Amino acid sequence: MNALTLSNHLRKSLGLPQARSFGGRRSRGATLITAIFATFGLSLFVGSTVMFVSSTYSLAWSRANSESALLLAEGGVNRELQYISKQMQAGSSQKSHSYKTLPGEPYPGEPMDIEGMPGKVWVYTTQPGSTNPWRGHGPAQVTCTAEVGGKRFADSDSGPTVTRKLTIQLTPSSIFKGFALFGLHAAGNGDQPSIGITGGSNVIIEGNVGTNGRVQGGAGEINFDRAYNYNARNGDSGQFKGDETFSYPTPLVMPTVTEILDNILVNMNNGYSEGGDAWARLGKHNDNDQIRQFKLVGGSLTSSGTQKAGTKSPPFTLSDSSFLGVNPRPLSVKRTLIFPPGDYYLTGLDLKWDGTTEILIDNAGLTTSSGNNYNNQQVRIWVNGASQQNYLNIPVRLTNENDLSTFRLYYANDGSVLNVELTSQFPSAELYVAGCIYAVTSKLNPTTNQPVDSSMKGTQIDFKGGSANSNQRIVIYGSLIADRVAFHGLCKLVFPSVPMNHVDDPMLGVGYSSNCGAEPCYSD
Amino acid sequence: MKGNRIRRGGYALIDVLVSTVLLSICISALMSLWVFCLTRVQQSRELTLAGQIARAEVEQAKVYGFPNLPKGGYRADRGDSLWTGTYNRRGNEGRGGWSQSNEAYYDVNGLPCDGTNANAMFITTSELRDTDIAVNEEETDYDLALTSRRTLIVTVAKLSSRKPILKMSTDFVKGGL
Repeated sequence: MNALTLSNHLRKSLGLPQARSFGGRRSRGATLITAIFATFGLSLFVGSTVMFVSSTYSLAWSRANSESALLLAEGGVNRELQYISKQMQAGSSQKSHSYKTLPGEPYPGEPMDIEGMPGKVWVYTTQPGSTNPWRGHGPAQVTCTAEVGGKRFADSDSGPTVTRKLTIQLTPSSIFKGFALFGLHAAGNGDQPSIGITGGSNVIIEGNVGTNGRVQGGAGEINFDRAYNYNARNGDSGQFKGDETFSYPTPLVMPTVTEILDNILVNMNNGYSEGGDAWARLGKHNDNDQIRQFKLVGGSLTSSGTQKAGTKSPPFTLSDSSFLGVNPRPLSVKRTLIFPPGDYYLTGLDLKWDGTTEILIDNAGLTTSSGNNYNNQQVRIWVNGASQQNYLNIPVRLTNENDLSTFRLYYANDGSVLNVELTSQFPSAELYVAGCIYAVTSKLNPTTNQPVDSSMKGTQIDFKGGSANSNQRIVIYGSLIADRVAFHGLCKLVFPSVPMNHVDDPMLGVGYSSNCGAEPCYSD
Repeated sequence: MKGNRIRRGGYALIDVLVSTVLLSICISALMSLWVFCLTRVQQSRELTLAGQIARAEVEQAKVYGFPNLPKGGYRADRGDSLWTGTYNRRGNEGRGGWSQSNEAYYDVNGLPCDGTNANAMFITTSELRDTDIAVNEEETDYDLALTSRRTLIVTVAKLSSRKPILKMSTDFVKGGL
């Protein structure tokens, strides 16, 4: 009874007819009320279903657009890598896109539309961990924001807007890390070969060799691990041949020595402005007076065992006479000039005296006050002067031959020949030169295949080894990049397996090392 | 009393009529919504499958990499090249390969199939545009340069209407991601 009473109360409160009143006054509207409730219930059910289905549909779009945006962002990073490479080839002062938000754009960076795609990317490059512009030097951070779908692309049914941001860090690879030998002089740019060999002596290259131009052989051969024929778009037949040979249609463009110096000075943050007179700056600010020699008594390879050699700051030609009065190395008869870490500016090299002189590159920093080179500073010798014959006929050794990243010889005497000659002073011994030599003054325009500056003639390095036996040869332990290289006699280039990468080096390119395959890697 | 009974009967009839009209309107509206829901469910499924198909094709292009993707025809007026085709998983004697001017078909489960298959539901086409290329002297052909860029756009469409469902795109450069 109570249950019935309660039930009727409930029915009353809900506006339903009383249970006992079938056919009575209170049954009026029961059908309608039932129908309203049924409609209400159905609406709730279907409404929920519609919401669920709409959410599922929106989620499906978001998922698809999210994947699409990620792929676009990856593509945007690649676009920036391509842009950096192009700017590098052109020697442009703008190395990459900078961090700035253009008017009307929602994200920082250079906006790029993708033709045929309901999407857009914004990309920029900075120094790692900051928004400071990257100046074409050292590690870089590339950031790309990609947007897909939404009202921005109203002409297509492309779902809701989804944005993905991708940031990657690059460590550029040194230009010296790719090749034991590279000749940049292009085929068709004069008759001279970029790499030439005369006589019947073989040249051994333990590493990669590359060229933009012709390779002119004599009776002797050039033996190499791998060879790269760049600029082979017209099927140039005068380049390297063999199983381990790879061809690319366009030239590999590298910066000139002046461009490299300019970039290094800019990144020293010493007030030098990009595109200034880099050589004048180096003429005033160099370490020429830091060249050292052994002390006559108690000489040792330390700060206290050596002393300044008396050289002066203004650029000079390092010649035989520079060794006059230089003390011999203890337990040796060799008069030794020691170059601690720093930048040295020479107008020429005229070193053809005899076998009793040598250059010691103190890349280990043993003769510095700290006795080490913890900052990994380079010994850089810059040669820029009159067009003349230059000679480097004396040994060059390093205090740390397990680190080839810290000695560079930049040779910029345009139109001149740097001779490395095994003279009669080395009757039965190798002439050993350690380090990375870079001698590029004539830059190629990759489109025209002609020099960017027609007044520049380029450099040439001539190796004149012996011909009798393997003891009479020149050995280069490092990397050699020049406009032209010629071999006359026995010579061997050994590309070391020790560290070669240095933050101050010009870049070989930008990219990733994970899938280099047979190609020189662009980064570590 | 009699009059009251008559009035009550009239109320019942009106109840039923109004209820019937109301339910008819409601049910027809709900049926429309139901159809909408079914369509959306179907579209969601298609969209998910289309996204997976497109992503798979882009990833396949990544496996081939910058130098190994097919070259297109040089377009002198634009200074670029265009290749159209698709990655055919069943082509090349089952090993898969890029087929020029062809389309690839996928069934209702997103699996590759023939275009004649009754279950074929999706169709994919790819466009590969090469820019910053090294054109030969006759300007008839080209090679990829060290700084070339290759832009891939994959379009997945519904086979029945050929209306694109979605597109995915990325760029390839030498030494890139």
